[in-house]
Amino acid sequence: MSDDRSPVSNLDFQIGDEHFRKLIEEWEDSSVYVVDEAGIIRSWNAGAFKMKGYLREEVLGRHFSLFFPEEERASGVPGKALREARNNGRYEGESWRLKKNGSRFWARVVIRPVDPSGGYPGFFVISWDLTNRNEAEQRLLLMAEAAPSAMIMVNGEGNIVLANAQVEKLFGYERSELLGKPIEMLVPERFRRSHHGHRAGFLASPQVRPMGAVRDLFGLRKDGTEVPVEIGLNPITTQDGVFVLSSIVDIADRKKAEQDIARYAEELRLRNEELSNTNKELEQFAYISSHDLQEPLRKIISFSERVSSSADLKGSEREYLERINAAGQRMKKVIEDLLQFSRLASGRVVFERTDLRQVLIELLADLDVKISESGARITLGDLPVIRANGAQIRHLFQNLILNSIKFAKKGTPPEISIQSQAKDGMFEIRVRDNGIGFDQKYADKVFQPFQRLHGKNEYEGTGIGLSICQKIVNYHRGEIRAESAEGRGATFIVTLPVGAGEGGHEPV
Amino acid sequence: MSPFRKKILVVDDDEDDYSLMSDAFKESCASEVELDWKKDGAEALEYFFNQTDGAVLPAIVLLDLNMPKVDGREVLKRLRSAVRFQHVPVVVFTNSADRRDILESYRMGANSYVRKPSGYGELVRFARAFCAYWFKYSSFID
Repeated sequence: MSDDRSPVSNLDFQIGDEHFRKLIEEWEDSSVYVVDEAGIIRSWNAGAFKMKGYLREEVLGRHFSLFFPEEERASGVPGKALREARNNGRYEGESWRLKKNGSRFWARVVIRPVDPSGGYPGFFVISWDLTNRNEAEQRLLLMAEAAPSAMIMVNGEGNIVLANAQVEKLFGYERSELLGKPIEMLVPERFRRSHHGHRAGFLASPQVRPMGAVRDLFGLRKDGTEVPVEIGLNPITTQDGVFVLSSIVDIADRKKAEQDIARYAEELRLRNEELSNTNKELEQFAYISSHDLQEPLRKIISFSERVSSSADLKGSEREYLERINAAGQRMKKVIEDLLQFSRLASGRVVFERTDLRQVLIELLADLDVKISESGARITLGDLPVIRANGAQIRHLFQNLILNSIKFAKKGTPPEISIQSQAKDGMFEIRVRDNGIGFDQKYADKVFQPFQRLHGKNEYEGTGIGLSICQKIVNYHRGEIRAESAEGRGATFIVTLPVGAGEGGHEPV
Repeated sequence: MSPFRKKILVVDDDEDDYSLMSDAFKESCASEVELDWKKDGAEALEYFFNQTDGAVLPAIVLLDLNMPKVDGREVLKRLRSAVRFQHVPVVVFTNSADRRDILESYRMGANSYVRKPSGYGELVRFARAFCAYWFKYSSFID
């Protein structure tokens, strides 16, 4: 700036050219002052007064750290700036500065030796107030301050140049502790190295994007604890280069909620698995136990018959043996039904095209003896072809028909009709009889295993038949219900999907 | 052992069943048959394969399927693969009504498959029909 080597005193710095000195002193547009090698202010211009509010007399002879915020003073920033200016011939930076009234302003500062050749060991300090650089920036600051989430702006070197109030809340630092510091101070140690690389990568091709799309992000608080965060990155290009504005959201609560949900889901899955295993075990148990019960029972029946077939028995002995035998026969029926019931649950079932009419014609032929003994008259209406398991469907109608025959009115031959009609994409098959019927309030109860509406001596049976029917219908994704009134016959209504069980070979 | 009576070899691990069968056969056709009993497949195989040539073979074997050690399937397979025994009639006599057991038995050369009757009365009727078929009306056995 000047090659002038006029002598200078320690106390009052003079620039040789009077006009030039005057010009600078009266220059209002920028703050220019001179400090000696120790940082003591030796000159002061109008711009400096305008910017900082101090009169010339108030600052001459004082150390220029006067204008630095407390925390910068404490960490020796003023001295470092002078050293850098001396060593490199120039210092340039942006940071907060203080005015006389204590308020801060964002300043761009250039420090350079007055005489690079070493004649005068002092420095020009030239600064510009960038706080009001432009309105857009001002608005940005206001917006950032008002934002509900923490917002931090970082310059091209990765130093924090802006932090809003939420940042203080989230990280526990005062803003003054953050400004000018590398952003990495808010990044947990283990991520710092990679964060540095990511930051460089972002600046190379800046665009709006969320940070850490594939990994969880954490912030490091002043107290050393970590907080899970979500970070949105927003590049801002200014005349001073690219800045990155990041908005940081504390997602600790959300994370916890997510973890809770995941944990509940897992617990639920485990419970389901447990239940399904227990269920399988129970079915297996029912099957095996009923199977193994058959064997000793067969012996009981056989030996009791064997004894009663020998001649020399007293009347009461024979009667008791017959009772043993009758009880054994009943037990045998229960076990057979139980086996049938549990067999439905074990094993796979194949669904195929099944002609209901054909199934019923064959079934009626097989039941011929029972039907003619009872004098029953059975009429079949139009019956559909469905996708079903033939053996199960046959079992279903066998139980329903035998049920109707069993509960016929005394002295009235059973009349059973089986009709079908299409309804809402389903087939509704009605098995209707003229038997004794039952009170409609029992209509659900009759399908429960071992539920009987009559004494064992009135009507034989195990109470499993209709529950087998229900299970079969369930496997076919259908429904069964009963309509009846005492003394007025009963109707069992089976609803089956047109493509019952289609698409699967496995029961539901 | 009377040379006029046919011998039925019962291979069954269930002593109760054998005792009932023995009674049922005595009651229904004692004059035509006598029963011998092997309590499992190992004993049955020993009986067949350790006897001297020319010994009298049983007229028919009533063979249970599910037995410990050597089961009925194994016995049937061994008999059918031995020239000396492949024509001995074998009736599988079991509790199983499993389709696979029935098919497998016939495939391995069983002459008939009968599910064990569930009462003594039924068993007597079975014994009667069995004797009538195999020893009176059939020319199957000499």
